[in-house]
Amino acid sequence: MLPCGVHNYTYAKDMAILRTKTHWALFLLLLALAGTLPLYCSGTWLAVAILIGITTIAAVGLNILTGYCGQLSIGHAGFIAVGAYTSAVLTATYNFPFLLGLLCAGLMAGFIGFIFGFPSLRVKGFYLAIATIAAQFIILWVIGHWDKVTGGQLGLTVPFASIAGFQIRDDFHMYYLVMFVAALAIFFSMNLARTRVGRAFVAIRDNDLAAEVMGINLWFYKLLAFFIGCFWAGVAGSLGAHWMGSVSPEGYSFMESILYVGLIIIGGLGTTIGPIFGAIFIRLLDQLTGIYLSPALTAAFPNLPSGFTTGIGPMLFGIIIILFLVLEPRGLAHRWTLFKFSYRLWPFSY
Amino acid sequence: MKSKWVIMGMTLVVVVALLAIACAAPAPPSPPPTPTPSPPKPKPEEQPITWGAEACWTGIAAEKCNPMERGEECCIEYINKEKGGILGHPIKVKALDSGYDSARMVTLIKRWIDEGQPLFCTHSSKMMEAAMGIANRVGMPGIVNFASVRCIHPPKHIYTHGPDYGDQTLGFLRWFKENIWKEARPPRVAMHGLNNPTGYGPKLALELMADEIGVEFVAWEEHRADTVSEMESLTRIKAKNPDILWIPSTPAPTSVIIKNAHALGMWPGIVIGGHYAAMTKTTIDLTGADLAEGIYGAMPIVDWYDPAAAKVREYCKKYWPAYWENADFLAHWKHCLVVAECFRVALENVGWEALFTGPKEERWKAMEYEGIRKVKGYDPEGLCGPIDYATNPRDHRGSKYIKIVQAKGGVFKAVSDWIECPFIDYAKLAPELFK
Repeated sequence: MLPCGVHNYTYAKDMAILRTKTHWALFLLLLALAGTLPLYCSGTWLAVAILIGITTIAAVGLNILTGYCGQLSIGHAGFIAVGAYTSAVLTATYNFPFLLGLLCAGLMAGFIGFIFGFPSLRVKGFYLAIATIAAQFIILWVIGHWDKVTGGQLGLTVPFASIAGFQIRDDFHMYYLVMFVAALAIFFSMNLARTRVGRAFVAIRDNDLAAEVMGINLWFYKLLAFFIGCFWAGVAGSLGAHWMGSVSPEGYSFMESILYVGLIIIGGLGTTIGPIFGAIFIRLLDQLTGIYLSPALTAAFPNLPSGFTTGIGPMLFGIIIILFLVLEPRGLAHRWTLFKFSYRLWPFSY
Repeated sequence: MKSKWVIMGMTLVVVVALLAIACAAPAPPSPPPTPTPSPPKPKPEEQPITWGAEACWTGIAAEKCNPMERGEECCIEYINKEKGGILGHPIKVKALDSGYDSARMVTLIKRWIDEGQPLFCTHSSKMMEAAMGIANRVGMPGIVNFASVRCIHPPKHIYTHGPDYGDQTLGFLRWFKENIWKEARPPRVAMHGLNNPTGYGPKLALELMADEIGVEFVAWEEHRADTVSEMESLTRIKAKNPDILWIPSTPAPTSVIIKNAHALGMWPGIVIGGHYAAMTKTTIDLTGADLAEGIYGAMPIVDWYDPAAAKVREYCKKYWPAYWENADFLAHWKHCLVVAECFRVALENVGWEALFTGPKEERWKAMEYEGIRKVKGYDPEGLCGPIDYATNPRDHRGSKYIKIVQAKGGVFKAVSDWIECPFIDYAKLAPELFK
């Protein structure tokens, strides 16, 4: 819905992502804020921002796979682990350049996703979810037992990310790298949705039989969705590994996969902005409940065992997720859309 | 009309300014400066000791970590009230919840770096592994209670205060060969380990050091923490005819394996043992006192009822009776004593200001090189062997000693004095794994 008085007279204007001067102004403001964040942000919140960026990249991948194409995947953490370990092994053991390691991480994760996407040709829904859970456990089992390459259960130390000889040693520079890759992922996802491939994904999600009748090759597009979705998971894994400086199988648990599914649901399935909202919401909620709310409750109620007040944090986390699913199942992206509509109509109500 | 008011207003302003300038009297000559007394030196009570403390109040490890954190809280109260703090400085530490989540742990270490904490501590190896990459990069020292091999190898800025699970395994096997084993051939050792660093650490240690210790490593099987039967894997182990079955695991799966070994006729017969995480009172309770009779354990810390643990029992009974006989409560009490000693040495050498003011890098260096690395021969009130970080800079274990215990009458009783565990320089023996 365009603002009152704005009309599109050309195809280019109709397809433009930023169509009005207000859009451009807000976009530039967002760029300015995001670009200058490290200058006025503490180290802790800069680390949270980097974590949000990495989570967003992985969530974009899962959103393409589950939100656009309707292929439920509860093994996303496994594919993130593939990317992390690929990058770690190539850079630490074989001295690959970081950028090549990053690309290989995405390609390897995409390839593994492609392999584990084959069940989607025969099963769907709950049964496909079980197959992706199997992927999670198989991947972590291989990582944990392939001692000679991955270090097994003991993990690996990962070197600094390095671009053209410049080592990214601190969060200040890591932030810009992560945000750049996140922007690329979001831009890719946004444009994918508007292409023939994106429309095929949506058609498969809505009714795969009808899509097949219309001439969409289910085999090709489902596997492509797995490849693309897991590619971005691998990229996120690589960035996370180089940021943290070490990898071990315990960091990519099944609960992480569940978290990502919850994240894209809260953000809004099948929307471009949904993964961003979901990542910001989940990571900030985690910080607020664990680091601020629980200690505040402990200080406010000193007579209660602090384990009791600390447990309120995760309880609140679960309640919020349930409330979202009940009251706003289309996620924060839908709320944002409603806000934009009401803003454009204001002061009129319809 | 409008301009008239403007002109009047401007005129008023000018007049007031001129009056103010005219009325300003020349400043009188300033008196000679009187010497001001230097500010009083702050008292030690006003300079608290803090460090970045991690706790798993929530998450899958909460059941194990909660008593650990209570032990630390009680020890802090003991040090503050009965010992007057650390050289008069009170300890004021509040642990932050990591939720046993690596991503949140990363934000915690960033927070402590921001705050300029001189040191950070974690309970578990998983949380330390999540934080140590960042800590090692900036040079911030850390101390972990339960360390995996990767935490302290290769040695950088992370320390622990006891032999790790691999060291405990080798310490037991060496003691066993010297004191119990009578045959000429080397004893055959089989391992049934947990599928994480708790199990894989001892596996790697034995692979690297079996020849030096004088044992033969004949079989390895792994299990999950929630296993309910290991009959099939134990059958494979039985086929290798081992003399010793070592179980580097946790209590629940350990008890399952002992029961299955009994069902297969392996136990009693062979020697069964495990490291500190595996052989606890819980293991005996789950297995049954009769069936557990005679199993060995390697303990880097004294038994709950040891006279050295009297203060631990006193505070536990007073504040947390639910954690009575909980070895983790005792373990983290000891951890707190070791951390306090590191601070005491650092305070003696460089003072409070060097640890809590000034550039962060200098604080970390002061804490590590004037504190931790100068701790030598410290006895944590008899709770474990002497702590020494000074003698060998590559040995970040603190205490290198264990006691061998054996289950007798439903409790573990010591059958040896403190024995030293060999130091495994993983960075030199397996450089491809420990860069």
